[in-house]
Amino acid sequence: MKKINKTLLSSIILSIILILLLLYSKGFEGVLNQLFSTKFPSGSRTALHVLFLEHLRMVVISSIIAIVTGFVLGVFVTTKFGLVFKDSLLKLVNLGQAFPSAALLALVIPIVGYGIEGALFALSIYSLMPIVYNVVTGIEEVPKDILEAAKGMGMTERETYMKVKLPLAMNAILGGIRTSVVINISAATLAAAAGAGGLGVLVVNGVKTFDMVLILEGSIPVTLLAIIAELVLKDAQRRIIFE
Amino acid sequence: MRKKLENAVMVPLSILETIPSLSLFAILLVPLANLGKLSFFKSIGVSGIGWAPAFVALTLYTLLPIGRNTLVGFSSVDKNIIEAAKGMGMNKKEILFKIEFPLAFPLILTGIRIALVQTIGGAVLAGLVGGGGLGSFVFLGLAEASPDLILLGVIPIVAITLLMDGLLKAAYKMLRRNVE
Amino acid sequence: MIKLSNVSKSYDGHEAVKNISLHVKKGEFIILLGPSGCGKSTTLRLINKMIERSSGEIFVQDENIDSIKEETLRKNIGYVIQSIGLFPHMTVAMNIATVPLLKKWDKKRIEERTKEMLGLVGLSPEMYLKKYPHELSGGEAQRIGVARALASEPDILLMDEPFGAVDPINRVRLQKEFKEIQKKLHKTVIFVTHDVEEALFLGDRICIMREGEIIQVDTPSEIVLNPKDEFIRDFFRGEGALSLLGRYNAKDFIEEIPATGELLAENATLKEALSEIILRQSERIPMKGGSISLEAIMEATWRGDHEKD
Repeated sequence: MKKINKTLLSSIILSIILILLLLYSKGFEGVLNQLFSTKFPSGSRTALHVLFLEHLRMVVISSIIAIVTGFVLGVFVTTKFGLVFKDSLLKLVNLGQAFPSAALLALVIPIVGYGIEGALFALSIYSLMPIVYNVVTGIEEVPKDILEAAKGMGMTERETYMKVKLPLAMNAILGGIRTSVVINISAATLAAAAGAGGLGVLVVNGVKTFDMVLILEGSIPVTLLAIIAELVLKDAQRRIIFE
Repeated sequence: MRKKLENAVMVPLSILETIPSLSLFAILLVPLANLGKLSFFKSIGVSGIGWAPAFVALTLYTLLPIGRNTLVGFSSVDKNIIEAAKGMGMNKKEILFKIEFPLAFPLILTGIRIALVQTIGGAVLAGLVGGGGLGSFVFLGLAEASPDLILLGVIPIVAITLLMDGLLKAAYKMLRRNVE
Repeated sequence: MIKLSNVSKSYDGHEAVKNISLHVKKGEFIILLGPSGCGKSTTLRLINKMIERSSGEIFVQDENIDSIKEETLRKNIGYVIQSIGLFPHMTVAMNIATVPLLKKWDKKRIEERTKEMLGLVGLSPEMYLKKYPHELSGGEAQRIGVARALASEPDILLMDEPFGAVDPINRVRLQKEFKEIQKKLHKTVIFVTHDVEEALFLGDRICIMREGEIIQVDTPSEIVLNPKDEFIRDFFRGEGALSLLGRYNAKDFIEEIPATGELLAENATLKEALSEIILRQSERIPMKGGSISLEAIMEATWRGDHEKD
């Protein structure tokens, strides 16, 4: 009997709200129009759910890239060979973490180009940071005497990772994935400014035309998505650690 | 009781953090524009464009790192030290100022550093809402597909960020040496 | 079984171990004893290649350890440290089964072996198999540590102050139990400690170290009765002979002479017998089968471990 707790419950409720908003986007728009009368009520040109799926696709692809790359990099830098790179990588990551997505995007786009590729690249790099950081700290925080015992038992480096280091670092790693996905969802709104589509398109257009309706139409689904992701992943993290 | 207060403050701030920065800026536009119609606010320059939306949004965003780090900073003070201080006869105010605050300060400073770096970078978005600053170059460049304009805006921002980050990290290290 | 020839280890110019040579016989329980910093832990860890030596040769079971891959070497040597290092995310059963699993034994054999090991250290399998390390007391955790080290049937055990973090009452109990286990299994044990009583009680031979050098290697009674220098004499703080008494069982020195009074416990050591003698103010105390006298105790101590051979 799967236990449904507060976190899961809230995320289910929010998901239902989100899905309803997407399915009945015209109605959603109508409500917003009532609340915030604008000078030129301009409906969004593209259907809400299309933009949403675009946004989701961007996030999923860049997150997968970030998770895999981040994990590999993080683990590498804690092994014998990679240890030399650890400090420089961490310094880089620490700096990158404080960088708002806007600055990063603005830095990457001129190099990689406009459109979806550039945005995916920038988002992947942006989401990489928390994962690398958490993988490294998670592994480093494994108590030294446990590692001593493992070494003394004759575990090879690989065996130590698989049986001791990674399982014990799992909580930190999952936390890192959670942070990464959530900031990715938010950052993807800016991708619209670089021509990549997604819910950010509504927000950017809304800013240009001073249209609160568009702004909200874009912002509310994104925020809901971010909160849902945070809750679901937090719950998954808790379940995995307690098994 | 403290836990309830903690939650009451941290939860809204966390939600604030999940709102995309662009959205926060954007959502403030219209209300501030309306606010700007009132003479008092108009006189200090509040309006839908200009510095106001960016200013308010950036300030709100700094609340989370500073708030969270302050919280963690204070809760990380070893309970035994506080116990010893109490046993010596210090009252609550003395403990707060002489023990807890100095010990929590490094973490608070880190929170300030994060907030500062975050704000310098976030200010780039001001360019989108007419707030001026280096962000204007960035968004102009994005709109006109002109990479050099983008870089003209971004590179100074990155440079200032690195500088401030470095300075505060050095200050932190000096502080740690004294505490140790 | 284990041979160290002119082994040295230096760290950045500081010589932790200076040109030591030691030969450990099969089935022997040898203690490395000395003050902090004398190099005993370092020496121990040179044997299973946890540290690389600077010079000299080390042979384990007649093979130069340079020719064996470290992980293989360690999988065949039991290693127990003071903080134990039980894996917190694994059950007791999984912890004990670690090396057998790495060696890919079949499931049934592992299961039986795990239960056997728990029984060996005096813990009931039904109760302990599924527990997690954080649910164990200090004494229980140490026992599991020993069980884990013995699980893969190593011939050699390296132990670094394994009972140091346990409370005094449990420590004595663990020492007694472990001595029994070693006697039963005939494992070769190299045991590091700075506790004189522990050393005198457990060891077949004691190797005293100071500042990286071996000062004397001898049986406990030889060391107490014929210490090589002042340092060793001081090390026993003038109580050497008394500490030695804990090694011997009173029943091995009974004379068939009757005596009056309450019977001394059958498993009493000479130390306990002496204590009773003092308490009762009587030079002879009855035991099952006869009695133990003050004179017998003195002679037994003087004759020392030669009696045992």
